[in-house]
Amino acid sequence: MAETDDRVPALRRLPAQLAWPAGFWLLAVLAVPLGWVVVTSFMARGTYGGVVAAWNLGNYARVVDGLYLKVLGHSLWLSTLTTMSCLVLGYPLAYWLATAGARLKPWLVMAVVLPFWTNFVIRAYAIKVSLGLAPAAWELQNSPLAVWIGMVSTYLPFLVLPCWVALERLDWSLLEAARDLGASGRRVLLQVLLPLTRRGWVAGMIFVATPALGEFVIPDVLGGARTLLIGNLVADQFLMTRDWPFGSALSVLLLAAATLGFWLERRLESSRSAQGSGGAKPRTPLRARLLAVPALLLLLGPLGVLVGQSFVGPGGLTWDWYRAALGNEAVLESLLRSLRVGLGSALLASVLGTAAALALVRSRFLGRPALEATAGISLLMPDIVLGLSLLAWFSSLGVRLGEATIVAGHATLSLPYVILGVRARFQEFDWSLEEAAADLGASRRRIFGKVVLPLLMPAVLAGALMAFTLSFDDFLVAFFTAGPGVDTFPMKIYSMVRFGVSREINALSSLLLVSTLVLALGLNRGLKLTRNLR
Amino acid sequence: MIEVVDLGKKYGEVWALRPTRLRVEDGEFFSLLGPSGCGKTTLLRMLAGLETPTRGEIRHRGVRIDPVASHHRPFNLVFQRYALFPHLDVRGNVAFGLESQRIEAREVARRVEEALQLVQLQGFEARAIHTLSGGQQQRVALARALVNRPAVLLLDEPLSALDLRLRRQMQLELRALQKRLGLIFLFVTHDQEEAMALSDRIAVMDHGEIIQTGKPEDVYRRPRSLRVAEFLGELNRVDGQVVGVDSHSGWLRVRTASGWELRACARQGREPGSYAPGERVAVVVRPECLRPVSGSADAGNVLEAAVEERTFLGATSQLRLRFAGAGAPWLVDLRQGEASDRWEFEPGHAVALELEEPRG
Repeated sequence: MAETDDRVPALRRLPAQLAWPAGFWLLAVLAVPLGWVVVTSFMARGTYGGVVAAWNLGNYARVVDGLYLKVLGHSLWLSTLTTMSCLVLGYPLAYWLATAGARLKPWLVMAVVLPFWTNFVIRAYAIKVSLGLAPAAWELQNSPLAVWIGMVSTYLPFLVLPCWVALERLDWSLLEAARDLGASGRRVLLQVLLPLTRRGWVAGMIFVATPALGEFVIPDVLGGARTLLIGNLVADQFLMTRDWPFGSALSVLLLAAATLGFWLERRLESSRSAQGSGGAKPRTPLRARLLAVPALLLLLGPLGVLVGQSFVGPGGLTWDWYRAALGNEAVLESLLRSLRVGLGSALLASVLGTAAALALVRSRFLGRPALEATAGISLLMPDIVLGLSLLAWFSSLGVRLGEATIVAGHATLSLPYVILGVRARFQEFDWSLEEAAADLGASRRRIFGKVVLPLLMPAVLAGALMAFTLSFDDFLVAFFTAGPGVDTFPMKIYSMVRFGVSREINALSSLLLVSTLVLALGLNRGLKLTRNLR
Repeated sequence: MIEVVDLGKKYGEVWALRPTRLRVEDGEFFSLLGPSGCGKTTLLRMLAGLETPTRGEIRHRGVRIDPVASHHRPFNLVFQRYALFPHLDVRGNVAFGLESQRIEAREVARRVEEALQLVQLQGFEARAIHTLSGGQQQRVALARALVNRPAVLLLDEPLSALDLRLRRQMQLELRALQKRLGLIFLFVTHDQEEAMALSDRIAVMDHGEIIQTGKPEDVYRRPRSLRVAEFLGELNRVDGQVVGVDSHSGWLRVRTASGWELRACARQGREPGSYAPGERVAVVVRPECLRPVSGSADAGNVLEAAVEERTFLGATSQLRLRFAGAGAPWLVDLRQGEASDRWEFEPGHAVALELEEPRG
């Protein structure tokens, strides 16, 4: 029986106050800044770049101007192309993941998750390095192909993961039934497999399409900044042209797209068909494996090339680049800063998020739907919208930008992941365990401390790790909230990449890659432990 | 002794348990038997303190305990799917209740060992729950409840997740354990054979109320209503009219529509003398109370029918018979070796049925 909102028995009820810290946080560091952006979008630009409270709709009128309409078109095209490519390339990989044997599966999971956890600046840079190996006559550098590879390999995991979850929950005997009734492989795919996993791939498409709409750093780095996209336009309005009202109007469009995505995803969730997992999984057909190869190549190929290149010097193999990288103090300083920011924001997000998740599942309070919606929308919102709204909000309040503002921004970025992750785990929590504890004489405090919290811990830790990774991976939010001279590691690499390819970056990136791999392996072991717990 | 007075539970506008009265004596193995949704689990959960009654009282040895919170009641519950804590080992699970009461560590260790001995799980202390078989988990759940020395052990369909063989074995062990400890065991089940095999007394429940209470034999042989009779096993039903009462034995003489005359006992709760001649009644005949005889009918309680189907069931065979005229088919149980493989019982043959003398 699922937890129903309207009847939480006394034994399981938790105080609604638990949601307050996260609620206040999301209000102060997300909702109000976004509201400020919406307000600004109706104002006018002052003579010296400030904002004047002359209410008008001019900013929106400019959006539908011919020139900007074209920019909008470019962004839509890029988002659509990326989404469709991810679907075609990613679904076979998700299928392989779901049907792979116990020995192969962890490695496949790693193949999807490792790039997901690798800093995207590093990933983009790896693609650049890989394409650089091709003959110059092919003109792969700064080509649309480079942009396509960058976009697809960046967003692929967002599609593969939900599809994989849906496939794991599939009742495979339905496929056998279809086969038994004489359906061809094509019919099984189109009339059974895809409809039954619709929730997975539609959610995946939303997860790809919405943030991809605001993407501009990948096209910049890999495409040589040749096409103007909404993302660039927004960034320019805030950083160069200093036309904040117009930039705000554009951001409102991106925010609206995220809200639309959230709404669609919500509807998908409520239309969930009752379906139990079960049945024997088939061996992965050769065809599916072959279809999954391009996705794996896109995900892992550039990273492999990057590691290989880090050992190549002018006179053969060398450690020189590693020595140089570890001797670069500015880089090390930024690395330390990123670690600090990552730990700080992860701690903040996991404490606030866990408390909020507890309250969301086990108590009713005013503003609960608002909290859920805010978390859901911000998950889909392009990072640039969060970054610039914080910039606008902090500077209008006169807050000095620095490490603290990055931590605040990153905590906001990862809070929804913690909330939704812990909430999902808590929702499938077996009530009878709490009843058993009460029956055995445990007080409510003891039930919470000895039964509920220990069993939720894996989800809390997973949320904290996710928060750390998001922070460590983030470029955009830090870029807007860092202030002058305060570089995080991705920002540092970004600027080094812009100044030309340096072999030091190869070495540094490889080091990071290996540490991510070790971390991921450790986590995999941890997750297996928790699977046994259930 | 536990006493339930006028106890009821309403969800919205629906009574999950209509106001009910029940009394369970010390040392009794008592079963609540009924189909799913009949209110038996609701009653059990109110006793455990996991549901709040809408009305009524629960008394334990004369003291009201319904206002007492679950964790202060001397009752312990064995959950349907055991609800063992997956993050604790066997020792951690069994010790949980004692540690909640802040009992001294040495005492806890001693009693945990004792409880594990009781369920024959010595040496399993450090095992993780997910490494145990279903039967072993069941024993841990029992030990975890019994270690607290409750006055009443509540069991919510604890055997339903086990396979048949293991279930039989656990039934025997449960019964032995209850005899040895002398506690009240309050057992919820939807399996009538299980309830009859284990219990001193049974309460049959349906649609949120108790429809009959009594010893298993009484409830089976002299059901209070057709509903109880139907729930407790297979039956053959025939409608007829009361002809008279045999004043010596107290049996009713009933004539059916097709002209048979049967002797039957009055239903539970009604005096034979209260049946008026001509009153319409339903007579229930259990399949094992019918004996096929070859040859034609001559005595009183003999019926004639044609064999429609014979089903081999292992220890017994079952015949499905159809009477000349109309009516539902009847079932007859044949013990193996008695006559079950004789050619007369092949489909299509005619048999005469002899009714055993009514008991009760």
